[in-house]
Amino acid sequence: MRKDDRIDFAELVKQCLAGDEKAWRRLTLRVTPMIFGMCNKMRLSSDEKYEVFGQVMLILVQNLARLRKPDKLLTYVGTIARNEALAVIGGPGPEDISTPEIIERLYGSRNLTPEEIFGSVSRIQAVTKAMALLPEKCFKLLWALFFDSDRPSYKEISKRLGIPVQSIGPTRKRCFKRLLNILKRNKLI
Amino acid sequence: MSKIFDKIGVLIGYLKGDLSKAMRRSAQAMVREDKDLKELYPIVEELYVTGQSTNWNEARSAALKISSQLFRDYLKSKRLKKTGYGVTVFDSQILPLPEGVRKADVGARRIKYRVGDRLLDVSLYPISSGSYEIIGQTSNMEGGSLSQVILKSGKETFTADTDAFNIFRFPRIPLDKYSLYLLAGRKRIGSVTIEL
Repeated sequence: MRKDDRIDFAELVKQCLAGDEKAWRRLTLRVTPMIFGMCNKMRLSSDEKYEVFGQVMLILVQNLARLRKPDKLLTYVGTIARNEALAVIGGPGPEDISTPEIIERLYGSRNLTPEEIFGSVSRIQAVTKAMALLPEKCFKLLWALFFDSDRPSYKEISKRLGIPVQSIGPTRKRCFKRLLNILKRNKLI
Repeated sequence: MSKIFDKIGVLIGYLKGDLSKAMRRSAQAMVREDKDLKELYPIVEELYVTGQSTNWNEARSAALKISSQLFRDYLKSKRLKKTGYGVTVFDSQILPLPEGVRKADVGARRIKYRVGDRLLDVSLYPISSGSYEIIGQTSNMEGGSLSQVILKSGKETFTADTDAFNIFRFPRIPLDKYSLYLLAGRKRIGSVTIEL
């Protein structure tokens, strides 16, 4: 994988601040799995998820200038998403994550410990954050393998990524290695 | 360590239910016995479960539409800082429909805007093929209570007074592109764009 394939968040943010909508769309794609993934764990309805999404993106665009470091930006998105989702559920703040109403919304009637609830949301936040930090090719490959609802064939993935079909397996291997490294480096696992 | 990454295909097949009974058992044993694979499995599983939880193609497309609109509104709001131009943060028209639900022209549409610190919530109800009833409300009215709302297109202007709860109503508005102005007394405190 080439070095220049890496996503440069600082550059992306700079372009967004200059009013570049294409850069903003690229940034949006990187943070969407994290926001929706966390909302799904909190069992928000479709409307609620999009309300949270809009709020998070607004707060993000308002504070972009202060968030040029990718880690900071993604952590910030995760924190706002968590707070906005909790606000939708009805909890006044992260401390109240274990209130009965929130437990009910998250996991039905199963009585979970606060650690389990916190762990579930934190895990998806960590994995999607690491995914957002991957180089473009890896991000696209993971998206195609796990998120693309059309379930593209290897032939289709090969066409999209511009790599031979027989390279998908080795590329997937490298991408997971990177994903795991990011998770470990950032103490996300 | 590097060998475990060769086994990801097996893990994905296991999660998708693509493996035979014997292969499933062997995959379970692999995860149980290999420390590194044990570490990797929850990550692959998390990605798989997350992937299954949403129609991501629709979500991606809707997220991009909302986000792009929000970005354009935000840039405009910075240019028009004095007039308090509002940013669209939610539009039900853009959201994907739940599976099995057909698109209907009679459904209500909800749009939410952020106008400075205020939240403007607008509901649009189709009353004929060419017109809508518009009901809206603003919250967080620090710096003045809303008294009047003006809807202006290139052709027509409509005015509605607000009640004590900052609610306003336009009974019949023809399809067009409008600017909606929020007024506190005679002072304009914000504006947004609505396309019917």
